Amino acid sequence: MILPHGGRLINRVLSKEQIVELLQKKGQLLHIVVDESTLKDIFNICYGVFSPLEGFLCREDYESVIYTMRLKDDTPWTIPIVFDVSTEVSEKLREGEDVLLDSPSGEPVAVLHLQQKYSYDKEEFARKVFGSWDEAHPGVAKVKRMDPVLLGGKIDLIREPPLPFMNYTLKPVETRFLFEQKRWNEVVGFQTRNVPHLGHEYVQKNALAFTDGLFINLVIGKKKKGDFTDEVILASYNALLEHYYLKERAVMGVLQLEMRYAGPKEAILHAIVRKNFGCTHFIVGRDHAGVGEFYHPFAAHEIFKEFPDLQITPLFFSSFFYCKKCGGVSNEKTCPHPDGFKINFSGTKMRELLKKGKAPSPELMREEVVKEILKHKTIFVE
Amino acid sequence: MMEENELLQIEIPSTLAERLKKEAQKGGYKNLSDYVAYLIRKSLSSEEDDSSLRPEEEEKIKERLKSLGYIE
Repeated sequence: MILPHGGRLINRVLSKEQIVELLQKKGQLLHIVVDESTLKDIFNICYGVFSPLEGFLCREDYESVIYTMRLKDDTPWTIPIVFDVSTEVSEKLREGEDVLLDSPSGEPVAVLHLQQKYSYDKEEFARKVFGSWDEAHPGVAKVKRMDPVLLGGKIDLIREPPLPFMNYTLKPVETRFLFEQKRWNEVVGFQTRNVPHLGHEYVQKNALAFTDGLFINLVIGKKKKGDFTDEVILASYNALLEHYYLKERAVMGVLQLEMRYAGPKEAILHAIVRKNFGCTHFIVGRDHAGVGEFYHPFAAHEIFKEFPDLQITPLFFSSFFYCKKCGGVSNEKTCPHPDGFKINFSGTKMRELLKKGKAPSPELMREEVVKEILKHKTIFVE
Repeated sequence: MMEENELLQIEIPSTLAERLKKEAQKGGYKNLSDYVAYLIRKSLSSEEDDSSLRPEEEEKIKERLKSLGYIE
């Protein structure tokens, strides 16, 4: 089994006794209410999805990550995982003290052992991580909205954060156990935020042909108007797995990860996360984690050259299409036929058809998947 | 106290260094030091990894994976 990133799977979940002891001091500790995106970071840190991180980055690691794409101990890490608070809140906090992090409903979810509070330059953050200071980039816009002080320090989990689709959310300790049970030595991870069409299936099955198992990892959460709802994505993948995959060869799990849209740098983070789940290979598509035209379509492929020590193997796929002459899904490396034979997997066109209750052609989307999608009253985010 | 990022020189046989240089080049490493640091870190981390599960933890995971239909 591939080792977790940094060599050790992080588990920062307090025992029942530790929770009782901590909550006895609840009244004396300061509380900060955190939003859903921080809850996701807490989940990912404490259950080892973000191994080797044990908490929110302190200044040295933060600077090392944005300048060198590595933690200060040289471990590859490309996106700073930070926790921002207002000046007013930070003035109430003292380094060396514990702070309770509460869910929006007021339940303590984790304790932050505050090691450091520090200021940062938002423009530097955005330019280094996203390569832009343009507010049209959702990652940049988020940085601009962030509070001015960052809190760094290890965290411990008190209770599982209240996040949606927990039934399908798998932790690295569970996937690693699962892959061992299935005797999968080589596992390929596939990330998606969309309903599956035959192009996706083609990529997944090509990768699976050379490995022992496929781990489909659905990233759920914030969506924009017109996107498929999380419920529809989950149901459509269930249908695809049931009808077109061997149970012994493919599994699916939800990943509670907020998209940053950092393109190539985020592709590295996504690969690290899959390594922590126990994947030996990771599929990197065209414009992976990109947005608009902020990144070159193959920037997420190029960046892997800078990380020969990542240990997980990226599998690069570019564009694919249905070729009427080949009679199947193909790509520019395998199909010699002119454009007239090719049907592109246009997400916009497929969405338009489904919106009208019509099915995309079977060359583009599986009948069972379409049926499952159309069963839902609300297919798209309104 | 020694700083974490302070660099030290370590002597290794030149024949071994030549072999490592070739491996480093093949692996895309910028220089021999980066490659040696990577090998040492990898070796140390495999010794550190203690991810064995307690029987009750294993049981809990089995139940959950069974409920998802992933194992029998």
